Amino acid sequence: MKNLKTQGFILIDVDVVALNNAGKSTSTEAENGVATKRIQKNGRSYTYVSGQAWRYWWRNALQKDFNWGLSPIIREAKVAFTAANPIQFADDDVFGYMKAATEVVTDEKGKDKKENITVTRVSPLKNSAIVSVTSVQVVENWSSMSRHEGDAVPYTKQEYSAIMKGMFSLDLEAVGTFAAYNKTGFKNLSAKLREEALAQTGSSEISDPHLPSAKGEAHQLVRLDKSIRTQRISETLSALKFLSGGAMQTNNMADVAPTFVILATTTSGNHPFSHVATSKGSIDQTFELNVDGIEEILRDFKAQIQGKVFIGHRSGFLSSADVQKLEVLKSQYPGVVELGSINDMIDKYVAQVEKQIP
Amino acid sequence: MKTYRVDISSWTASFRYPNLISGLQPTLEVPPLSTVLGLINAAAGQYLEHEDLIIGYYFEFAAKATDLETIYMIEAGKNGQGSNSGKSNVIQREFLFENRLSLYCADSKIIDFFREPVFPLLLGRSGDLASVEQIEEIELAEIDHAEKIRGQIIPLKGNFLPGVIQALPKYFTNTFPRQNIGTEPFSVIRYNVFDLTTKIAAFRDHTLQKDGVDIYFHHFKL
Repeated sequence: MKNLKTQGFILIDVDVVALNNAGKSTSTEAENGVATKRIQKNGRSYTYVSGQAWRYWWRNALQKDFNWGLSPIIREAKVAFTAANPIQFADDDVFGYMKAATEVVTDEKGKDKKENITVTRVSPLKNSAIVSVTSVQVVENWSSMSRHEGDAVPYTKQEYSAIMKGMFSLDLEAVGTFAAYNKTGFKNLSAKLREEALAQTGSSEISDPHLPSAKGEAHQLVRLDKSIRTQRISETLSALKFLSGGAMQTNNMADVAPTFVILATTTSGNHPFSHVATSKGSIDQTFELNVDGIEEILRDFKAQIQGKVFIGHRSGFLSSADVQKLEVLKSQYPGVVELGSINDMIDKYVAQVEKQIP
Repeated sequence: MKTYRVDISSWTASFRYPNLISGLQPTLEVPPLSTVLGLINAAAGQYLEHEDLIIGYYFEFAAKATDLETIYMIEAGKNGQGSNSGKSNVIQREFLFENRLSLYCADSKIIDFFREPVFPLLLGRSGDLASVEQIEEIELAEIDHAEKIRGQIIPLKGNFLPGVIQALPKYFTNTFPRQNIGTEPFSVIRYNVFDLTTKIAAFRDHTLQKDGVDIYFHHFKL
């Protein structure tokens, strides 16, 4: 087992947005003020979108553009959970779940008994928050709800323009691969679902290399047919092209699809691309692409990078100096670095990963 | 003393206070030993049974902020397993921004796991992705009376250092459900405190901060 992961890095470029709000503003004098999420560092503001919100956008893109039938949310009394059926629902598979429940089963003597079928799945897709690369001037703007007769209802909201960075890691071995044994976070399937999974055409059992049983033997994992796993992985990655979302869309619609992307397959859980976007200037106000940093990664992690590294950028986003540096990088690493437009690079990476999936 | 140092960085991190279930979820300003040992397991891709582990670490961050988060609170059922009842809630969770964890260990086997970690490295929540920056072999000078203890947790008993005092687990079992191992009170000392005189034996890393940090080595046995 090669332990393959897709390591991704993205930049989004947004103008006058309030992508993810933090509830009532405590810094405004207005009665109805909404604050945006931000971090104060050395007296400066860095705006961010929670990892949770990014996942919400991602899930929606998969539903809208790839026709993923999302796992239904089941509500029983006070509790809500998804179906926790990763065989049927690709989003349960890729985004993980927890469901605490009991199921009536028939034991060997033919008697009905209640069995705990609590299942959890650690998400194979892990993503960071999306944080502004530079310090950001957040402004408070007035709005009003004034469609009816009588007094308008004024409110304020915090808005900003920023280049923001995000990174993610998709465990290619874990997609469509499930454990049914009892370990915290590892029991993905109930006994019934395990049978269902094994009954699927093309599914098989493989040994779990990571967690031996108490006797030291390998546990068996259920793995879905390669075509299903490939489709789920390709669509998850392709959905990056169609990301849309953010709060207050009617007033602050912004394009949150990446304007810059790096995609690579590694044999390691280590995410190498965390420092490729940096800031400079007296108050951290200027964005800079760290092309030397990308070059360092290509050198240092050469043994862990499988296939090509795809770097996509939307025309007009990067400075001509940065584009030139990337061109030089490409010529220094022929056969390793591919450079092009965002969608082209995502498509080419997806074509590469489809050949790499075990 | 010759040892290895692994530098790990992350954009965000959050280390929850044990025992706090509802309301604002503050973050500890230094990860507990169990988090660091969990990180080693993530890198190793397996649960490690440590017979005799000597490990030190230092943690610093650039800012602290609060996130608004939806959580699902599941009530505990029989045998500590999750039950079928609970509710979703919106909570405020503190997190740390621009973090660095330096891990010290003389055992090259532990260090080698970080050269090609099996699972993604996380500092707290599932979105707190972290990266290994560098791994190097360094020489640390022994200090009898450490003065520059910071960015670490120190056992409270026998040392009685100031800082946030918290009962923290050292490790978790690999049973189902997991159990805490070796919970004891620690002083959680953030990275930017003043020097103070102690009787603690430690090792000084001159490269950290302006004039070095004294690293306390925890001795862990399962």
